Amino acid sequence: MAKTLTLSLDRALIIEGVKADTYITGEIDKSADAVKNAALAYNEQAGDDNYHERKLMRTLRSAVAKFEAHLAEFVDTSAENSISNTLSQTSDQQTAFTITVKVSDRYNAGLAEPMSALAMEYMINMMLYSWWQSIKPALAKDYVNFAQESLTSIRLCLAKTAPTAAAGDYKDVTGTIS
Amino acid sequence: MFSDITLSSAEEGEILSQYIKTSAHDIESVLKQLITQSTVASDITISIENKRGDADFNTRVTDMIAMYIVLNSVGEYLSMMHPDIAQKYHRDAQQRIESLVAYVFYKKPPTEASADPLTYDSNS
Repeated sequence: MAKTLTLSLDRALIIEGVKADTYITGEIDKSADAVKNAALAYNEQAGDDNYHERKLMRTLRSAVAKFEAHLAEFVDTSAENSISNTLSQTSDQQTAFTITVKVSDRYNAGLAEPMSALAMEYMINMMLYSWWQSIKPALAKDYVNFAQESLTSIRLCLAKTAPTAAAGDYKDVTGTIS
Repeated sequence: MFSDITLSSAEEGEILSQYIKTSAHDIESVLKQLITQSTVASDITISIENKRGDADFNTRVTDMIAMYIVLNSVGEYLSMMHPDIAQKYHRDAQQRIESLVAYVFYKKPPTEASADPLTYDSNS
């Protein structure tokens, strides 16, 4: 474990992802009956109301914490993993936060960016799971499955690359009898 | 018929005033989730949260509320003497309040975050 991998995530993007998804669901429900479902859709569509924003921030923090818990053996305890930043300001402010993990020397550096993307997807899906849990539990189950898929892919990213070939050759390994 | 439905001073002063207030309370009831402040007296003032609505939200909502109160109050009044005509006003009032609910509970799509969703800053 020698390389340090810093996943830089954008809180506004994550929250926009959640809002966009819930917005689409609300609009679909309204398309069935725009009048009867108006208030339903309003309440389904995350955001803007103060208690919506607070729930989003709470579930974002929780999603980050779960992510770190799942990768506990890799999370860099010496680094300042700034989960507290995710709650310190309102959601419409552009705030990056980082998660630092220690990875093997043989970590494939090309997977750093996909891993950041997957981490973001994991958090969006976990937040959507929390969002729908009380409104549409059946739908919530889908999102927890999506989050699990992201996590599985993240773990696949943590695989080691093949060891570096030594300068010598196996055929050169010899024994002598004297 | 028109002599029947001309308002007496008592009707205008008390009964119609009561219908108007009741209609305003109907509005308060259906929009209660978003109402931040409301006064129903000689003037009716209803403040509604508008965080993701149109710019001319206030004008449209005020017009719809006023029209509902007029239609519903007329319908209530007519129902005493001309229930057949009153039904039309009640139907119109119902449609108006449904439009109001659909409009007030509308949210625009969420604001785009300024960062490009397809780029991620990461390093190893």
